Amino acid sequence: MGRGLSLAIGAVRDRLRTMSEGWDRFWFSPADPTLLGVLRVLAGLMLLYTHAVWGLALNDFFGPDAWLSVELVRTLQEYQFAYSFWWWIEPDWMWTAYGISILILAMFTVGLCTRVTSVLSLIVAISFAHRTPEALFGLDQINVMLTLYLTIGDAGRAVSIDRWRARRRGIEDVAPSARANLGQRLIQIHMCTIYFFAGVSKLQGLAWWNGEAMWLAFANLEYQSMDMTWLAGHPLLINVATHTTILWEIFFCALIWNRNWRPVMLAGGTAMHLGIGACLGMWTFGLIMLVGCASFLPNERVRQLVEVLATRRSRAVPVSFPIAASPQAASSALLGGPHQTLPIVVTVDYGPHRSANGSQRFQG
Amino acid sequence: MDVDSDRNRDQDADGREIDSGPPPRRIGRRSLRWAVNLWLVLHVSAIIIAPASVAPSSALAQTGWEIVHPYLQLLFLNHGYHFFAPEPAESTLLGYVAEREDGTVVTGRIPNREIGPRLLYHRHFMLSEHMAGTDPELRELWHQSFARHIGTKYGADRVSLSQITHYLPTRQMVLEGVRLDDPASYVEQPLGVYQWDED
Repeated sequence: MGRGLSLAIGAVRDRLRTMSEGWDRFWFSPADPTLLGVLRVLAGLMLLYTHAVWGLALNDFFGPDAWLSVELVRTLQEYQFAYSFWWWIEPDWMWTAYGISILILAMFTVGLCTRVTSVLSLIVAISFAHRTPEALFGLDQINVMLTLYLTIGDAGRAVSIDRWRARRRGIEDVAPSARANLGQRLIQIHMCTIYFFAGVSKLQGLAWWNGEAMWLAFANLEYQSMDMTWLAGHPLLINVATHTTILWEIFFCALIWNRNWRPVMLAGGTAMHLGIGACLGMWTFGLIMLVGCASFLPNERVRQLVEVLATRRSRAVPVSFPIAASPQAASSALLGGPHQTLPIVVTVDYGPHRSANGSQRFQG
Repeated sequence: MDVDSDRNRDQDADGREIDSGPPPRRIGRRSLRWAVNLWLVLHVSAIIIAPASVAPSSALAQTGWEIVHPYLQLLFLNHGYHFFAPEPAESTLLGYVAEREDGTVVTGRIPNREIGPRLLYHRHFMLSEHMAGTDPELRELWHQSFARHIGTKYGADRVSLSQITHYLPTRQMVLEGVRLDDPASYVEQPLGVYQWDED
């Protein structure tokens, strides 16, 4: 009896140790920061564009008589923890604050003093969002989410002016970093959460079951940027688009971790988001979602691509691979194993949430 | 594995970073690692609770939301991600008539397809969409805010607002020749007349 108990305790202990090692490997294996650097550039460009567009109607949205008055927004945000520097900006200083914000975002995009400018960019993005909460949609949510995780991942360590300056100081190689992996993993997990809830929340809608939902999207003149009414005569095509969309969203969080399914899921996501951009005119939303999806690209390939592009633009630099070009490779190297991709290391049970969600309100 | 393992590297004579092996275990590093792990668990839980607590939701999910919402709101991560859910629906537009003191009148509607670039168009579209879905107790405040903005923008002291619901045609209707901008698909509801004296 005593021996059986000690065996059971030992088995549980081994299981817990395995889980702990898996957790560490997933979140904290040093990763090449190149991919995160590329994501910083792409997300930074979107941040710059998004905020540049605010500048075309700054008075309409941030002025003293904006669409959303200070009184209205403060009432909507009552008992919320929403801050914004816009509450302290006098109208005379509005353009100055805007100019400084754009400068910060530009510095973040090119990777200049990134540890500081990434934090400041996060404050800028959140402040703009909290001042105009009712003029926002999914784009702004993803913008802030990416900026947060790029800040955590110290995304200025590669593909940046900071990196260029370090190289001039004689530091040639960029070392793999646990922070880079942490930032990348957080983006990946958040993207899985987004797609899962985007999918299951649709299960409450009749049109997503009878296959007509995509028609409802195409028939919305306010969204439409390409005439898709020719689909009215092809109900099966509409059904296929509807069911594919919802299946892709729900199963993304599971299949994206599988090495065989990952290219399929990424290709499907690319087609879906480019379709959203082309048909519904939401190019910004479609592209920023693709930036999030790009966090699943293989680090090695991204690094190779960046080095090839960098070599073309400057003197020939031999392509070198440090101890690890990816979290998976890093862990293999550190554990003394072969250079191979690990199988799924995290599984999440989403079961209890399937029937517990939904919304009757629009959330773009 | 250390949370900040890139700091556990030294530089060789050429200034290149080299791996100096496993870091010495120190109480500070171990505490940091535990703190980061704890934060990860709480953070990932929070970003899952946010969409899970959108109605209809369980008491458990709502209780979770009560706990995590300050953190999520602070970081602007308090989202439901219910894109086009439960299903794509009709649009809401805002119509307005602004009357100036000299008798001239400006009429308009948001969103307006002439607004460019497309992102700015969507910003205006979200204003009218969110107005339609707002708490009934706050609607008057929305209308006053919109009327004040329109009045200031066009130099008008009297602004009439209306909410326009644009219904979607079925496939059958389109096959029978109904256009997406068919006048019958727009239903206008007056929201009120707002007048003020700048003096």
